[in-house]
Amino acid sequence: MRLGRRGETKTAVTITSILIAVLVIAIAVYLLIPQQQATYKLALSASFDKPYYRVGEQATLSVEITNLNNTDVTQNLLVQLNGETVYREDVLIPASSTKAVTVSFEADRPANVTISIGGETYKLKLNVVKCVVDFRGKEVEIPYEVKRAVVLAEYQIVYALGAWDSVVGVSRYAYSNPIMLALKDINITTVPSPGTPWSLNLEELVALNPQVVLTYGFSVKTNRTVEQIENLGIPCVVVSLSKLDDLYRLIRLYGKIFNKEDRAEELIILINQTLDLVKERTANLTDEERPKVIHTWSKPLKVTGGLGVTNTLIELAGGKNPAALEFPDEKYPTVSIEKIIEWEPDAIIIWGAAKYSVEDILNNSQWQSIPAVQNGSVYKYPRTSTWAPEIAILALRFAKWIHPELFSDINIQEYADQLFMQVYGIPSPFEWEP
Amino acid sequence: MGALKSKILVLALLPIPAFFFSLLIGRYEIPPVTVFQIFISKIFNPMMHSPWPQAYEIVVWEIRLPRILLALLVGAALSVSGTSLQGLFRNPLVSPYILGLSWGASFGVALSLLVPVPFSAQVMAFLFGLLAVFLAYSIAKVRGETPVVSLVLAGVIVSAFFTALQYIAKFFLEPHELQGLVYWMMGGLYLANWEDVSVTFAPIIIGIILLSLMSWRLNVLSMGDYEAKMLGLNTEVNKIVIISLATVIAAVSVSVVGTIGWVGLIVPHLIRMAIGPDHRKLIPLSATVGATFLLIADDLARSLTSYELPVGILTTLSGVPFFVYLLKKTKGRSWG
Repeated sequence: MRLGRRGETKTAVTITSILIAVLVIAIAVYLLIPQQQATYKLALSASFDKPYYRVGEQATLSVEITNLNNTDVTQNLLVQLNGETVYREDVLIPASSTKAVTVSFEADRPANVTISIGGETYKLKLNVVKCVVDFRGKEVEIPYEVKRAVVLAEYQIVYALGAWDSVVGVSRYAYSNPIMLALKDINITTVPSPGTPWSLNLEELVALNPQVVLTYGFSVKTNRTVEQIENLGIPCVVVSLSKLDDLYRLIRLYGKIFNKEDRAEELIILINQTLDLVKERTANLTDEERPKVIHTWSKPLKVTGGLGVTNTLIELAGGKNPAALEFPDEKYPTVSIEKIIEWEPDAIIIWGAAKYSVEDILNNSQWQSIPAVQNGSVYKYPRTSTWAPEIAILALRFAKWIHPELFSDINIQEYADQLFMQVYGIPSPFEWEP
Repeated sequence: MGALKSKILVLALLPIPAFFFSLLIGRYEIPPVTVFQIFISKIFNPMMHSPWPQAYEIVVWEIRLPRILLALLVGAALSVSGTSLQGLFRNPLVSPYILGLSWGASFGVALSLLVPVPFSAQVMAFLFGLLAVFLAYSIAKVRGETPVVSLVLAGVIVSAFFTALQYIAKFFLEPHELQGLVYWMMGGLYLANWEDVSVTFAPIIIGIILLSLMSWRLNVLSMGDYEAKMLGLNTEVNKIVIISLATVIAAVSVSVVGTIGWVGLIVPHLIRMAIGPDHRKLIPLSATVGATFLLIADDLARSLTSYELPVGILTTLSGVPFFVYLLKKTKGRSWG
């Protein structure tokens, strides 16, 4: 009896277990078997009214839903950009007909578009291009995200913006640029070069497969190069620099191209901090307190006229340029030594890349009557670029040469090292305090 | 004679293998088979939908082919121009630039960079190149005759004059424009496009054909003015025609690709050493060999480095040692 009872209990447990197992399997099977298809059938297609849009442009998406059933269907239409809903609306599609729905939204960046209704989905891409205005005033369309750029002009700005990853080619001149050579994390000479804006290997350029080329224009030869590049279907952003404002414009333009607008503003603030320091101390100088300063180029008789950034630097630094009064509309007039003697400049500043030295001027018998030579106020700055943030250091250097009394507390090397660290991540490769 | 014939045949056909070889090489790697497929489909079926990447087609059809054709045209033009003038002047040191063409042309370019002119730099180069030669010819003309020595001297004078003018222009040029002028003077085919080919094609081909037709007159003229007159040739008319044709084809070349040196000096010399002084063979062969020479030099210019080497410097650098070798080998015999 006891045995029998025990046997009964065992049987009951077994039966219960089997029942539970069957139930679990049934639930699993129920869950795993696909739901019966909806009784209605829809076909979905969609297209944009343009192959691509400019940033901020209104994109119009036409969705066509075809109802293949004999009855009207109302379903929820959902349009998503990268998973973000931009449209959600119930749509009634009459029996056996096609309903067109137009959806508009602002195209601010490229996106994957997913349209779904009643279990049907349709995917397409929203193509968005950026439009930048270059120094020609031309609106250039470039991809939203530039990943392959060939930079033939002002490459160091691209590095300073932190966009070097997007550079696939540089000007051959970059190989001899002291800043590019000093950079720690890149080896500039291993970056491919299709040449320069004056002589370009078009086939190598095409081989680099650039999305955009940044180059110089505004001379006959460089314009022809630009024309050829554009004829090959490669967008060209043309720059040309002649005054201080152009540097700001360049930094902002490059910032926009590489989606580094914030960093561009940061660089501009860095430049302005140092320039403001110079301006603060020189702003209130009277005309008599401003010494006469000339800036000489590749030859000692080639001076800076009223145009160009070096004239601006002299003025900022609290000097006045006698050549600017005489040649207000020229960049680099060549004058006779007699003219320079007549000007009696109090200081002479020599272009960093010039092939002659301070001593060449100081020891030249023809220059002996000039006050700058008598006082030993002849200076030459390092071979740095004027078209980069370090122009602020150049302004400080000019100012301390022209007004040593106002800037005696400032060690330019420290300022330069700090600025270079912030801009390029390296200390200044140049000596600023001889 | 058989040896000479086969030599002539080889020299005449040189551009064909050079053409196909050049089509294959370049900085952009394209499988050789595809290059030929593109080439053939573009010629026979330009509307065909291409199975290869668009970049391939651009490289082969828009970059390589016009450049190759331009190199062939310019190489032929410069050599034929050099050959004709060497024959006319009876002097192996004569090049297409002897009458001041290159200096006139580069002044034309400098001027177009400096002041606004109604013509493009290329047209200015062409016009001033012709002007320089015309000036030289006018200076050399004494009592209705133009002795060879006066022509050479007049060329020197005109070159000096335009050199001076060009330096004045250079002095006032912006650095960016100046750099452009320097590259132009070095010569290069890197901006070659179909427009350049279509502009240069007709004048160069017609010029070469006309000079070939005049080649027996050149044979007579190269014996000397006196002998030519004895044989009943109107030396002045023939001189003017030959100088004009030689100048126009060289000026067309210079205006499009800049001053490429030595092609017009070394190639004529080379052919003369190889096959003798008969201009009926010299002119056509210097066209084919000159075309090949410049084409190969330009292949090197565009594919040795990732950037462009100036082809004018390559032609000069490769020409000089070869010239020295030939001169030593033949002991200058080709000019009797």
